[in-house]
Amino acid sequence: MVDVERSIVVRATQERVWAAIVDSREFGAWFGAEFDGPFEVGRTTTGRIVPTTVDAEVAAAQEPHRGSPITAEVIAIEPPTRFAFRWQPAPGSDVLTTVEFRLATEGDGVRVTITEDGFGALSEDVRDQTRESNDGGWEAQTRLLSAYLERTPLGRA
Amino acid sequence: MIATLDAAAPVFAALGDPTRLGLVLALGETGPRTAARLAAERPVTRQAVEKHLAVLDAAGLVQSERRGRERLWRVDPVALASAGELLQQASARWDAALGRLRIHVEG
Repeated sequence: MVDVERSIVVRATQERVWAAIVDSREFGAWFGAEFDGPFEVGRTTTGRIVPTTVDAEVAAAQEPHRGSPITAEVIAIEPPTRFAFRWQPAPGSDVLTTVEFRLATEGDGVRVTITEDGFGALSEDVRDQTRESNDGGWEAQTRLLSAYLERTPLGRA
Repeated sequence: MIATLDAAAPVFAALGDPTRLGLVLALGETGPRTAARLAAERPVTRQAVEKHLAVLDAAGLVQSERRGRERLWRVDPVALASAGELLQQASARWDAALGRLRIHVEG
């Protein structure tokens, strides 16, 4: 189950968009963060929230969170189509969610699709661990939790 | 948006443990139960179940009430439904972030 999927078409070359996503400095500029090093597969890049430089209103909203830690454990860098990392969806969360960016040309632009999975601890790891101690009742229980999680319309997105 | 996700961290943390997730799901399916009954159905002690229930209680995911000498635990559906709202917030956060990415690469 993919928890969150959003997508947007931007008017730029795929190379440009790719660089804006996998270069940790560029990522930080639009996302609103400052990272201590580059994104590399298998490596956890530490950083902190620093207000975005591209939107003054969002920057003001991020200001109270300046300095909050943010880390990205990079799983995949497949130029120029796929970038994936695991992170804490919120400071202090024990659950790590997996964020994945996919790029594809569309018309004279690039479609950027982002998914975030693992909210509610429904990651494969946890599913497997739980299955072992759960006497096979896990599938029904997964459906139950999914029903709860999907109750709100936008939650299905 | 980030502030709201901050507030939700205990919910993520509470659901992040397989035993606790299993307890929430079991209570959701079967209705109110005692810690002893929950422990009997899984390979953990009653003391361990009580510890996990306390964490879930602190996150607002379960509630308990005394009935005679027993304490019955049940799921708080409002809190669990709020997990769905979190996904909504995460979606909105990415909509906003993708909008900033667009400004960044098109500008």
